[in-house]
Amino acid sequence: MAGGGGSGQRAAAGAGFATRPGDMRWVVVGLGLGLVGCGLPRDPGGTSARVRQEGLRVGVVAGAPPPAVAAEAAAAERLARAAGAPRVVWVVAPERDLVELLRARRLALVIGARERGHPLARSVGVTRPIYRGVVAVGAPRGGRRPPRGAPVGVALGSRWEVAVARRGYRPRPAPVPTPPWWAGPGWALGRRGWIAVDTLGALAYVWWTPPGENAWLLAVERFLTAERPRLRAALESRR
Amino acid sequence: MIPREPFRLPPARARDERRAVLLAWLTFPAMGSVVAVLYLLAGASQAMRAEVIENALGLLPSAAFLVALRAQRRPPSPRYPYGRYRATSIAFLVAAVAIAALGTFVVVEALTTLLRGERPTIGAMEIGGRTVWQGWPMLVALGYSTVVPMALARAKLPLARRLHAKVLHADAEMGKAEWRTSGAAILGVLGVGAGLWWADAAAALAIGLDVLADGLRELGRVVRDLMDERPTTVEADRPDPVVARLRTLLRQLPWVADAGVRLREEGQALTGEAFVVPRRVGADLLDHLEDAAARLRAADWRVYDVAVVPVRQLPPAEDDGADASPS
Repeated sequence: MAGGGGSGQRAAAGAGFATRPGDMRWVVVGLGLGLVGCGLPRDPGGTSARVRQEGLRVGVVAGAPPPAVAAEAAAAERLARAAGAPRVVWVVAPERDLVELLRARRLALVIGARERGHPLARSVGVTRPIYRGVVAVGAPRGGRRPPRGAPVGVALGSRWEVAVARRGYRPRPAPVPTPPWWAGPGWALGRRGWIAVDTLGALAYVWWTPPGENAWLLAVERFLTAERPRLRAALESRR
Repeated sequence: MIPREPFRLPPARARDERRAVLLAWLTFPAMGSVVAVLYLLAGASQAMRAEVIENALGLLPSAAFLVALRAQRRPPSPRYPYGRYRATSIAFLVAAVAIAALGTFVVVEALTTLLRGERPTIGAMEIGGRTVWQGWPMLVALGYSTVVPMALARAKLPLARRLHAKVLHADAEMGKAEWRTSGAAILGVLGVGAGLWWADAAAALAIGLDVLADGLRELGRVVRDLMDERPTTVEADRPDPVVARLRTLLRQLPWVADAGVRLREEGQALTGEAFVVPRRVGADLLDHLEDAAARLRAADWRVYDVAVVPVRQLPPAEDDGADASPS
């Protein structure tokens, strides 16, 4: 609030021009903006301060793809350092529990291949995408688009099975890319040196934060601005 | 069936009407841009979403005005012998119901959020390579959403007065009050920034109540119009002095012993009956009656199809204050 007095004086000087009563409205609005403007936004629940004092508590969604967890956890550790957190506490649990913990501000972050638009994310804070890519049918280098009715591998329980079937391919359970075709995140194809031959849709991963903790969310977003290329490199790098 | 003569505006008013039509059309791109900007920035802020709805509703009166005008301009016909001058009221009835309904929706949604204690998350945006809090661009958008409707309202208000167009007037009044809802949203966003989680929903509640009040007020006004309420002024919804003026005009005619009027509004037009008690019934009575009708029409451009009826004595009148002759 150190700037409050300065902007207050400026607004008060402006009041000298306010001859009509209608102008006073704008003076009041300007004064309010000036007074409140410094140091916004703040956390209603004090998450930023808690991270600094007690450490960063990170929820990791159980069952998330290990390469995504590895890349995002490394990023979360860097976030902890950037935010001045004395330590990082990892909590591995199903997403439902993690959301409840987030809502109670028992966690500051949830990671693990969280796709944007997740229905559970409506009640928590969501960052802009930390990673943007595609979901595609892939083939080893030099491969071609599969013909209709061709068997395409897809991880059992992956919702992309629907898209595979809709394209007229025959979904075949395969947890990891196996020739001749496999459908999944572009980064998983890239790690094998495969290429995408038929794009099924866009893929965007986000992080979840406690609802309404806007200062903390802004801090995470500022950290992510520089972090995104590193995350992408870590996720897509060939083993 | 004998259809009425069509109602014609005097040239100056016709010019005003053309200008009002132009402004109504202009409202769509202007308010469309406001709604688009607010919508793109709304994010999880309920106050912003309420402002989106509120500004989108601002298009309804203009749409009602344009649609109704089209119907109104068709001249009276054997099928519609009285013309379609109520089209404006009907269109505005629909608009008012929609405004009241969406106002209710916003109020209920805001109350639910408040009761549940849901916290609004306002994230970040990239502007010119810098990561900034989305609250700031929101405030800019809200400023824009204040200026545009208020400028439109400022242009519409004098036209509405001169045209005695209540729909246009209501539209302008709502636009003029836009600073209230935008101000509420600004306080809401700032409140959220300051860490008051309830500020956003409280602002949405204030906006919803404002919209609901607008809708109910206009609904009442238009229903009274459709129920043939006595003529009222555009401004304050008070008895229109034109009624007393017309009666006085008739009473001052030398051949008239006493006179009274029974008037209603159809859109801008004033219509109804004028009762005159002639001092004597001579061969010139028809001439007198025609002359009286012409004088009424000349007295005010809104006078349309007022039947001058000779009577032995006036129907019993109730003095409602508005009818009191100023002379």
